[in-house]
Amino acid sequence: MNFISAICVWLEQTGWGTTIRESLWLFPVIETVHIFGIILLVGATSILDLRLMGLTFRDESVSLIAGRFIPWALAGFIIQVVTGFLLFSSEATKMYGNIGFQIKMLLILIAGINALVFHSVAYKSVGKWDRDPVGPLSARAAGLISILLWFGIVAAGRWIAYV
Amino acid sequence: MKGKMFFPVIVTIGFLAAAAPAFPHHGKATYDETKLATIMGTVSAFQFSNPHAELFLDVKDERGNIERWVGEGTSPNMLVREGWDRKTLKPGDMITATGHPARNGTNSMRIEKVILPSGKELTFEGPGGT
Repeated sequence: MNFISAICVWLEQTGWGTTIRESLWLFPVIETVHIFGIILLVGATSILDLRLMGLTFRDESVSLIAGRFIPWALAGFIIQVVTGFLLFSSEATKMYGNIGFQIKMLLILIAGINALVFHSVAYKSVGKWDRDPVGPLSARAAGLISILLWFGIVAAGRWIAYV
Repeated sequence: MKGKMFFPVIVTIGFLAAAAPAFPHHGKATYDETKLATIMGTVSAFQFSNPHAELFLDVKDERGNIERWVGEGTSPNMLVREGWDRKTLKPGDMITATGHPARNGTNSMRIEKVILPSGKELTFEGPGGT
């Protein structure tokens, strides 16, 4: 057994993993909060992504939209990490082998790299194009890639139950 | 204003169209709702787990070979309303399960009801099916 699947077995046997798995209401409540979290996260990132692509708030500066919505996206992300970890703990070995879950984690990793690249490359020069209704190609590409990835992450998450 | 509405409306229609094939079924296997099968066997594991309870049964075939069956049920909170708890079944219990077998021919089914060792019958699916 490899290291990661050993961790999955351990997680599933922890007190909290067992409690959530066998709970009557805790699992659906955490699942519901996980949905609230994705609304917050993808709602906020999508507004910024659409602004980067020049599809909304064209008369507001990119830095203003980023400043207003990135904190909400981070709040959503924290909710997702916490609730996602708890749900994962309750059925870790099942998730480990689930192709929907595997794709979801891979897409989250790529979305993280995309955000990192955007902030360390395109966003560095935001002063030059902050008020342009449509950003430069690098910004438009980052926005498009981000919105596609996040919608893909939501879809892969939903498909965990069907694959 | 009319022109500005066009893009979001088209995007929304696109998503609805993309989501349409996602409706049909839940769970790993698809079960044949037109068929009902009954199996008798020994419980090897009973998982009172979210989002679906699972029941593993060792069933003897005509030649005396043991076949392992897995049956899927509804969620723990619905099972409790049907009279279950996590200790209702334990390994070694002899039970009878009736349900819809998997279309792909594997030893799995969506269990509708279980006859316990005591003779008591309990529903293993949610109210009105799943």
